[in-house]
Amino acid sequence: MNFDRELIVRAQAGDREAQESLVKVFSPMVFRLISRFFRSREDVEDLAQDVFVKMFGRIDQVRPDENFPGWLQRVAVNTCYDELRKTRRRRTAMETFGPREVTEGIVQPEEPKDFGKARLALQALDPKLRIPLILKEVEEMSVEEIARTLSITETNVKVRLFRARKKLAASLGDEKK
Amino acid sequence: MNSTLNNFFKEERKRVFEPGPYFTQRVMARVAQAVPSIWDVIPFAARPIMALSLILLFGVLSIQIVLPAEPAGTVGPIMAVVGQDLTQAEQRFYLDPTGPSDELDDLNLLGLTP
Repeated sequence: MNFDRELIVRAQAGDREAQESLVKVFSPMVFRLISRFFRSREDVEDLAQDVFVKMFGRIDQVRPDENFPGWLQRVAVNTCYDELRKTRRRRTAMETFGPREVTEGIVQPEEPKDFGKARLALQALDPKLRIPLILKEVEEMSVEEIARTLSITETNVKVRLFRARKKLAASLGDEKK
Repeated sequence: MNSTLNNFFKEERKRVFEPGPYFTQRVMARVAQAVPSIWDVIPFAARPIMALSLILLFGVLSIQIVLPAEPAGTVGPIMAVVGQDLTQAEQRFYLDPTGPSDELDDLNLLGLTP
């Protein structure tokens, strides 16, 4: 991702304009990432705000020469993980069976029945397994990128992906029986 | 992975929310409202040291609260048991806090009273 690294230095010094620019540059990436885990626009926006508040709270720890987008992705995924753990049980029912969201400018295609089952099976997964699977299959990250984002080893990522696919296949198989 | 899941993931890729027009202003307002906690003031590298110091401090304090210091002039648990066999004069000699100092005791025992 192309951005002026000077923005980070200026934002660290408290330059409000640079801070606004950072939000504008990185908000589409943060929104896209959070959209992978949450289906309501309000949730996505609230979590994106949390991510940027955390980002400014810890911006002093960022070195301008390090991979800032990667660091921000890590903050966003960790924020999603915390939220998924907190609301896992309560949200599963609402997101699956609750009213469909009306979203601005987004065309929601009519989805086949099987997708509902797939979504239900995916939401029933532990966030520890669900997050790497979504990052791999939907966000199309490599195992190495997932390992870096989640701060775990590549072997651990592979194990979690294997378990997630196995559980998903088992729950979809059970549905068919 | 079966085709349903593959198609499902393909559809999920299309589902993306975009930030609204006032998103940046909302974030900046929240950042301005955020009150830094004590942990934000402490540099990141010093936080584990600070946490350890606090744990040790609270540990020592809690031990002091749980095990209060023995007040001066009272009989300890050993002397309370042993003291039952002593005569009244011996008790005054060994246990009375207002009695003569340790040096005088030693001299008395040795028969060298000044």
